[in-house]
Amino acid sequence: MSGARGSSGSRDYRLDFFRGLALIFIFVDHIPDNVVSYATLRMVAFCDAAEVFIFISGYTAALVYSRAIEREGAAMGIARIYRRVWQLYVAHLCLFMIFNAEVAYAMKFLDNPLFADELQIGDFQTAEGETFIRVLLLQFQPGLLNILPLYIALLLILPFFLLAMRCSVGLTLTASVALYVVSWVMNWNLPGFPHGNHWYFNPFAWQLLFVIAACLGRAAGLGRHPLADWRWLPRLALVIVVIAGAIRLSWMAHELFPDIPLYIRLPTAWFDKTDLPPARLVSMLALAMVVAHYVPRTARFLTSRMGWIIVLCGQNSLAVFCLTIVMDVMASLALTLTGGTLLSQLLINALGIAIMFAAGIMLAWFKGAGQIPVRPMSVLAT
Amino acid sequence: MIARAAVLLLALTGPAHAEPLVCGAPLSFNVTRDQLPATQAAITRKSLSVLVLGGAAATGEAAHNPEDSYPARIQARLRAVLQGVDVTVTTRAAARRPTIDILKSLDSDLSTARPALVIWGLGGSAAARGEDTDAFTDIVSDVITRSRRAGADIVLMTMQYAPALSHIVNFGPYRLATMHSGDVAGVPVFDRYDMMRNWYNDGVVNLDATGKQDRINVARRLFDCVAEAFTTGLTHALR
Repeated sequence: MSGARGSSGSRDYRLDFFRGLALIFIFVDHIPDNVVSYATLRMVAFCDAAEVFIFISGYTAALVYSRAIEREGAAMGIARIYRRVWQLYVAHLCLFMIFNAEVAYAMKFLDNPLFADELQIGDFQTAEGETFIRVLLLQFQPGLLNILPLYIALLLILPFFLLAMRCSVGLTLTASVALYVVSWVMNWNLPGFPHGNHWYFNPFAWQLLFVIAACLGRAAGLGRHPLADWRWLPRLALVIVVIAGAIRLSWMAHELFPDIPLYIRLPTAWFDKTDLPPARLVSMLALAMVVAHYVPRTARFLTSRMGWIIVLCGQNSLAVFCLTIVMDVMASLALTLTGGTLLSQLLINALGIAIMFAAGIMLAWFKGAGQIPVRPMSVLAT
Repeated sequence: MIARAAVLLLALTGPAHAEPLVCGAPLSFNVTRDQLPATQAAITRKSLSVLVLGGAAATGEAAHNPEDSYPARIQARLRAVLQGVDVTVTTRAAARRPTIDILKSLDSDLSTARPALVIWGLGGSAAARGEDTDAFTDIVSDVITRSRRAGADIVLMTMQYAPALSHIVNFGPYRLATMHSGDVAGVPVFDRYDMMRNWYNDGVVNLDATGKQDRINVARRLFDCVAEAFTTGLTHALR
């Protein structure tokens, strides 16, 4: 997704930077038993990198595609969205093949009677015909393969929301909130596989975050500032972010050092990722508000040497995202083979992030026809 | 009160503490005295009934001998430590069972065994089946409530660590749900997953063994390690 430009015409590198950062967190968080994952967003907020990724994706998708619709007409704009959907679908199928290979490898250890309870995860390899259909229908979502189906589902419905927003943003948001509430009350979710499972990311719930982000992104694209009149909002958001951070840190302290008592006990259902409960949603929106308000577009770190590499990763998010999922599978495998020592954990994280950076730079170079986009030095300062 | 404490003290200063721990200290079992009122009372009465609920691991089939299952090893170790106390460990376990199935027989199991202490090993089959974590959490709190209503203390035990599988089966959410449920209800959690990972990394148990007899030996050693860690943590808390 390119062309994330704000109202002033200059590109908002904060979007690229924080999407790049979210991708790094997604990579780190999805390596099981990984010490580095204690240093990611989920430890200081009720939401995690998944929310950030979906929020920024919704924001930039609306920004880019609503412009495409204005410029080239609704049909061509929608065609561009569905071409993206197809790319994501192909990427998902490719990732499934890699996952399947890993299961085949692990089957060697699976026949140990000690792990009889877990034996059934190998069952799908003995029922291949059915499984392949379920994969094609996005119903079978093992392990790490649940984020892309959500993104695909959200992009599939994006055209309807974008067209609805042209008529009335208020009505679109109302419809989105209504769908969120009704799906919660009625327990709606898409069916998964094996029978009885559901989507890990419930699209009926997650669409709300995507649509809110899309409304904001579209407004930015049109040069509007819909929240500018509510001057108290950033301060409220800051309070929410600080409170959530304090609670989350107290939990981490308890997790790491059981001697520290658990001061605040909240029901786990409040934070269940599947249905994006209000605590996670509000935490994410507050975080976005705080960053939008307190991190200036001209912040130096965005164009520092390291910051710029992260920006380049964020600008090539689909490719880098798929790479992180493939590398997560590889990293898991490598950790299994090396016994998961602290040193191998650190090395694997460092190597993975280095590969992400290299991919970001390479893709930027390719897109720029042999030129890596130059770090803006003074443009932003003016 | 003082007499009770004296009995407890006598019961708990058995010879076991003189022996060094074979598998290492039970670092991932945080349990305190006030979480075990029924167990304390039962030890004072000199009759302790323990009910173990669980999946494949609790059946002990991998060890090929009922005497080597971890519930049987817990019974043996508790008897050694709690001298003069009549310790009985009953097991109700089945492999590859959905978590919800535990509720079918729980009340009758509780009234038959009349346990002062329930140990529930859970999460492995739930993760393999990809059960809904919300529903999983609800079942855990239901089992805690019913056990307490039956007058028993309860200890939750996280699933087994499986090196080749932990990267394919998504154990994390079920392990965390188990730990959080324990925290919220004030119930001790025996983090078997964490301990097994440490034992595996430290070379205490070779979970990658492939030979048939090797695997049986590993399972026997593992179940004894679980029993040792559990008994040590429990008696330390009660001391």
